[in-house]
Amino acid sequence: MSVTDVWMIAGGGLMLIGLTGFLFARHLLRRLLAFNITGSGALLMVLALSGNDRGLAPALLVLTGMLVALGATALGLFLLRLWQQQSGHTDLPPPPDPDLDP
Amino acid sequence: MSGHWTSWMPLLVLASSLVTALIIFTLPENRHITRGLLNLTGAVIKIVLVVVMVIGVERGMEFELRYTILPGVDFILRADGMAMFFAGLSSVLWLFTTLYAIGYLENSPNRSRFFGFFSLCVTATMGIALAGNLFTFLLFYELLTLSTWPLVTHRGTEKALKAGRTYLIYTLTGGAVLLGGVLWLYGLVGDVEFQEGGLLRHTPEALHGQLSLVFAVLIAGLAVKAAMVPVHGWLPVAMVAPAPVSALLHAVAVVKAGAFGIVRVVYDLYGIEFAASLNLLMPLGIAAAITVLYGSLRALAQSELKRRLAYSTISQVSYIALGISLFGPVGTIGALVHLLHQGFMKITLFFCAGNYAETLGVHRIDELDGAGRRMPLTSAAFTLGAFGMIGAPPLAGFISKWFLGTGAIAAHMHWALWVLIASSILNACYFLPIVHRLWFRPQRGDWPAEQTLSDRFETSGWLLWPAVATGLCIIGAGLFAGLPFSPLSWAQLVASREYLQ
Amino acid sequence: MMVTGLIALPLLAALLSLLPRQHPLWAPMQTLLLVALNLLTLALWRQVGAQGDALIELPLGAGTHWLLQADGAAMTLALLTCWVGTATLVHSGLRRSPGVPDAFWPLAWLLLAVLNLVWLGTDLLTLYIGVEVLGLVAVAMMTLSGKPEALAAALRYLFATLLGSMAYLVGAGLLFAEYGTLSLPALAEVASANAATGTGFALMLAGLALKAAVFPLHGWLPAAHANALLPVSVLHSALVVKASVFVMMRHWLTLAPPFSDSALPLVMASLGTLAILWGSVLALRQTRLKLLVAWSTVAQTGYLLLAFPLLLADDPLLRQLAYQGLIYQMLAHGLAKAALFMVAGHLITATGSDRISQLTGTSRHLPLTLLTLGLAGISLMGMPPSAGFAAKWLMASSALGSGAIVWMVVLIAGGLLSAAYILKLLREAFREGPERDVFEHPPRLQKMSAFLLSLLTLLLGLSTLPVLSLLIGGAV
Repeated sequence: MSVTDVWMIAGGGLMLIGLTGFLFARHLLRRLLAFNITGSGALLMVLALSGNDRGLAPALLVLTGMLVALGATALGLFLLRLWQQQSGHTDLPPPPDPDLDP
Repeated sequence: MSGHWTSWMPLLVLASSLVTALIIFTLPENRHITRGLLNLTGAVIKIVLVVVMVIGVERGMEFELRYTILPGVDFILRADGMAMFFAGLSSVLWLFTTLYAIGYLENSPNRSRFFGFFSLCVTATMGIALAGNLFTFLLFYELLTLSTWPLVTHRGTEKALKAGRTYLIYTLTGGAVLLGGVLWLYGLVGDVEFQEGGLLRHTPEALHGQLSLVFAVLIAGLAVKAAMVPVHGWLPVAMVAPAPVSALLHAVAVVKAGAFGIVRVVYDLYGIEFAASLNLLMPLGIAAAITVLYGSLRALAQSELKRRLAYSTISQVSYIALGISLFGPVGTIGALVHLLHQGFMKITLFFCAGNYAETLGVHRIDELDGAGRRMPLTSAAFTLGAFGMIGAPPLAGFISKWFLGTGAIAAHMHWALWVLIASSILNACYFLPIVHRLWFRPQRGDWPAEQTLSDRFETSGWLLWPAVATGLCIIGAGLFAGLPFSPLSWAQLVASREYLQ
Repeated sequence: MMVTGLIALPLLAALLSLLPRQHPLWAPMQTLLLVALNLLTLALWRQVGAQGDALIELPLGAGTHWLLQADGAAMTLALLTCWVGTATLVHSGLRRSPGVPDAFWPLAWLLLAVLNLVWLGTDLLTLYIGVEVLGLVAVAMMTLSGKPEALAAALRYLFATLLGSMAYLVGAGLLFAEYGTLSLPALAEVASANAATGTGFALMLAGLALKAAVFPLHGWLPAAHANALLPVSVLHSALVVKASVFVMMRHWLTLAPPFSDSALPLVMASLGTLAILWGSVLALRQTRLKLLVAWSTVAQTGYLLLAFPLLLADDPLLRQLAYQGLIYQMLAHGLAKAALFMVAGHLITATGSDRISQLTGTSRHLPLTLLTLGLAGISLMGMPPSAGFAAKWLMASSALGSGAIVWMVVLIAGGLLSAAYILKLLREAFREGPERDVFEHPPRLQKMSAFLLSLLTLLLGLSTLPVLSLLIGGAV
């Protein structure tokens, strides 16, 4: 088993854990965290896939990914605070039925 | 697009009603006189332009405007003999219908909207007349669907909205089928223009099988507007529209657009001889014959005047398709001339039906007893229309039926002659009782809702004179059929160009 | 290099929009910026038309570049962005904008900048940055209405867009591992049908499909569009959703050819068909105006997907037709949908209700608004003469040429379905009912901006060659 494989498995495992969390968690903060874990796993996989000596491109890709994750987390936290203040809930209601007249 | 004035003529013809429509849409509701003047100016300008083009075409001039609208597809407006035939009919009848509508809609709401779409509808009809290829035809054919819908639903009642819906379900589906056919044809042979004699006969033999199928698809799409059985269902329902709309729908715009489309496809796209060689005319003739008889039979059973007229339209318009299927110049003349004659006759009948409804409140046939004495001029015009439809000489309808009948004999299609005779008997059966009630029965009590619309005449002059004028045209077209520029001589001119041998 | 101005100018405008709203020079400044954007976009569009595509490399150091490609497709979409953006900003009221918070302006300009980046980008890194930032800006804009429903919708959209970008990122990583390049033109030359490419490609497509609300991943869209602020719904439905489909198309042209024999094209077209059917049926069943318009977006995205398999036709002429049809459909739908959303806003203002049943009598009082609805509707139905019809004609011709009669029938039948829901609105507007007392008129400027957009759909239907001539050779 090469080093790359180890990183790949680690990244894949993290993604799996994160996605499980996202699918089963109800609390929005948990879901946001689950996303971050998935994201980290994804970044790890990308780094492992692209190897060491292939130029700046993969690093930039990962860097963007990290920045985006940061921005998205901040935005998500802001949103869920606002949501909690306005609705009093920490989870999302079931999606509206398309056929139902609200 | 060349800068020559002749290339702008077709566009000007369209613009004369399009610009009218646009101005009217922006006009405040209470500017009745301005709106009326605009309408009439537009109509008169259009007639003048059409007359100029008719004279030009007769002398062999070319009026054509074209540009590439999509890769490999041209937008073509062109005045040829066939185009002028339909354009002439539309422009003249538009003038009469506009006059009539001004009187008919007096004091009713939403007139700006009505006349706006009315003008748009005529623009579409003129576009259909002048379309130089199937694509341009399709463009205006769909525009016609869209611009007539607001007219059908104009009253905004539940019944009108329902009728509008039925109308759209039929016509949009028909349009979609037509689009499919047009796409198929363009995929096979590219952009083929309408030309006398038809250009498709030059296609390689291998494509002939597919071309026959395309023909069936195209005709199926066009048959919806032409109200051929079994896709005629929208027409009687659309009767709920105001009388001038029914008049326009039945005489000029919608059903005629379908019939004219069939004429174009058979003569100027496939070419009558090529269509005959592919054995496409017989099925068309059978479908037309069924429609002719079915429409007449159903008309017999109607007790409402407008509905009887509607079924009569279904029957009469298919005379055109029947005439087309009679392979030979005589049948062609019959089909073409009926395109015009039916327009004049049917519009007269609808004007009169509208007059009875507006003046006396009469909608049912059994309420018409004695109306001839109360409204002699209207009833005279109605009688002319009815006798014309039956085919009594020397009226316009006689000329149509004469040429259709001799065409059937010339083409050795004697069954078609029997269809014509049977249909004429049926026409008499459902029109003569009405005429009898008008003139020979005493009035039964009060009229359902009588109004005094004029001190001097039996009804408002706006309603009366258009009906009388179109009624006189029925006599004129029959009596003076031999003169140059009469419908018959123009039909003969066009027909002579359609046959190669 | 001037092309970068398409990104720089809106960015500058976004910064300037941070200035206080009350400043007397604020409205003239916005006007100036809009005029500048229009002139620049038009000039560049004409330049690309005259001189052909331009490939621009912006060095990032260490041998890596940002790759921008100003081709006909990018410039057409930039033109759409410019038009819809201008109309939306004018619609929001440059001088006074009641109901539009100050934060809308910088965000909207930022959105336009990122959109232009997405149209121009032609390497995986640029596109990744583009779709990511676009997603975040769009989420932020969704919250501007401040309604709790909007917040819930925004959160759902945030999760969707994050999940989508993660899939995209892993896909990009896989492709880089396989070929060592992120540039699309380079990938187009080397890509072959192997497992790694297939997986990466599929991940990217799925991620983008989620962002584009492609059936069956459309769940987040209706609520998001129905609850957002009106100008936000306009920008989102006309442009943002399109951006993801556009990126899908760029990847498709690069990576799909080796997979043309697989089930992939069939899957795309089937999803497109289902989207058209499902979206139209649900649009027809809505009783609320904005939801109807939102579901129509789900349906119309289906048309775009339907063109994807046609981009792989054997005959280059048919490929080109599909490509032209696809881009033209984006243009047509963007303009028509923007106009339709604005009209929905006007009708809601006028009747004070979002209910379709309350439209009774509007045709009498709001003729221009109804005309706008009609024109935009004609284009959505794909009826002639309209840009929507031109797009449908091109796609259907391509489908017919490739023998894909089924897709042609779907295209035509889809038009009938859209006619059903558009005419449902018109029918209610034509109904005559009791006169209502309260009837508010939207500002004239708002009515005009919507009308001009719908007029463009008509003009682009009557004259198609100026745009289509730029799209020759794009998919060959």
